[in-house]
Amino acid sequence: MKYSIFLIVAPMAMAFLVPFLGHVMPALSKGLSFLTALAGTVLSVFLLITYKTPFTVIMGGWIPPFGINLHVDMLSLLFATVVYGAVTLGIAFQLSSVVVKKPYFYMLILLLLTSLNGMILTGDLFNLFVFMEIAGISSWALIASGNKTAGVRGALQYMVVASLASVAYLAAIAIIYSSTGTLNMAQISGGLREMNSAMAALAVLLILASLFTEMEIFPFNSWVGSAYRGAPSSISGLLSSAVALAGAYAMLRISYIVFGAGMGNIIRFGSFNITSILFWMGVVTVVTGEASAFTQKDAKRMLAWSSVGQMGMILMAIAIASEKSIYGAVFALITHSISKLLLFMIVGRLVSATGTSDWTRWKGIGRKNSILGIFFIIGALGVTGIPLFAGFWGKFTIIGSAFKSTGSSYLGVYIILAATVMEAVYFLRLAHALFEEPERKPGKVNTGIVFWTCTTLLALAVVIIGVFPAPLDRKIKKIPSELRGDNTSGYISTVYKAMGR
Amino acid sequence: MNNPVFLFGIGAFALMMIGLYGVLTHKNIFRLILSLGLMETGVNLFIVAASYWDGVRAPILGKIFNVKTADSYADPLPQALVLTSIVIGLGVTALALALMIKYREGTGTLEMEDKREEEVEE
Repeated sequence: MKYSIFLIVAPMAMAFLVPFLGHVMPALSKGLSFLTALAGTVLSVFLLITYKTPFTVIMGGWIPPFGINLHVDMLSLLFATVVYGAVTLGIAFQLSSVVVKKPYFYMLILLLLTSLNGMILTGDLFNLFVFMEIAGISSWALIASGNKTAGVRGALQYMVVASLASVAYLAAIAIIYSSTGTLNMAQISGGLREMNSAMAALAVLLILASLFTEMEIFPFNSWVGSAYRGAPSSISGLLSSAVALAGAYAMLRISYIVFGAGMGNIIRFGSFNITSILFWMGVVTVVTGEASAFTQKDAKRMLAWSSVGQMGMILMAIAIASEKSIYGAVFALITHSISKLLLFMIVGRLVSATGTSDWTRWKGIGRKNSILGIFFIIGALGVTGIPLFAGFWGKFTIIGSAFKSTGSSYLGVYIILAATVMEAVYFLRLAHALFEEPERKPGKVNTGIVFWTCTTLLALAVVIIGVFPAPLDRKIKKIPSELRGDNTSGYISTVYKAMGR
Repeated sequence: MNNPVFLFGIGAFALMMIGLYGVLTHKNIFRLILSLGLMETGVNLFIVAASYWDGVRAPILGKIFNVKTADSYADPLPQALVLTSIVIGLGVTALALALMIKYREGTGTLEMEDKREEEVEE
């Protein structure tokens, strides 16, 4: 089981090799970066199949808290698999695109892959910060690599917000370390409740602010529109399906392990506590995100704001914090990644074919490319959560958990249902435009065997998960009890066992 | 007042607030990057201040420092954290300046304005 370290190390080693190799044989270096991602996908799927109980890998022979531990459980393995799969398909998509990128582009994708897997596997708060920064630096450079000034503008906006977030996170780390004397998540767990309450509240708020930026939560998401629009479409897809996924993972891990089961007691003003903060931020994010997506005439911005809406829904589920809502949040995150990557791939090709991202000028392009249009509708229904499509099960479970919860969480039912209606309207509006009578002769869409393989795989995944959720369901069912950490198979006891206590 | 932690804390807080003010009020990219740099310096100082122990020695073994027992060591970890964060800050600043130059080449200005929308093609 020590192989899990290769999920981080292999892409990093290749990332250093690719630029040198790129000077001699550019084609080989690009092919190698694809193969690295593919090999990682195979490894993570293998680990997922052979997985039985959570385990901890201790790095370099230094026992935590002096060293850093990687923690592998069902949640991190599932997310690592999704990240690897998404990046593999993203690289394939970019390689089949008409726009030829330099080898440095693939080096940056490999660095992004390294850092996202690091974020997902690490058990140390400062290590998480370092990987968050690497993810940030590589994604800014990747965003800036596309669409001339539009990309650079998006990257700069993202950079300013994300740098503020990293300062906040670092300040929180200083507070936590000076009070608890450790940075290991399992050891800190619950320790925040024993800290000076004002200091603990400050640390929690600073950490939440930075995680909200990673997860694109309102009001830390002003950069989302221009960053997704300016980035090359492969990178927009990865930002939504892999980077936001890793951000949501950090949120899950930190809120349930670091803040601990009694996280409501860290900040409390009457009945208003930290879970209410999470819940209301989620509500505001869903409303503003879906409303922004609804008004967009720019297809890439529309997809970006739709991701924001989904992340808000997932934050609401994290705040409800019941077994069912955790299940729903994880299910929704995975299916959202699959469907959104499919949508960004199709939209990317349509943008290249028409030379504009304004979908009102795409009229009739789906008549000549009907399969493309059908795949778009499949992806749209997958995000929206129509029965028989992948997004349904996650949304359904979250709504069910909101029904059973007490207090203001009940509001989640109405918010999510209203958001679903809006999603259905703006997605199907776009899909309708694709099949309308064309105003001018639509250009030729650049498709090929690679593009069709990628999109068919994703569309099949959306439909198969929607119709037969059982295999994924069996895996995700294990997560809530592993994540809560207050039992023998939980996170904390696994790490303590590895430390020899 | 003579406690160095107090001075460090005030200094760190002031640097962070000056930087935050700069980020919030300026639209010039170079000033934004400068403000972010100030904030990073402030937070580095804050880490040092938050983990300061009075009356301990540098955690280096050897005759010069004459460290006998583990009790008299200062905690070396915050130094490592600060060094790492300084290096990351350097990388971020370098990339930000590179992006700024590219932005200037494309638009002819250093102001961030959101009104303009170029067509995207990929």
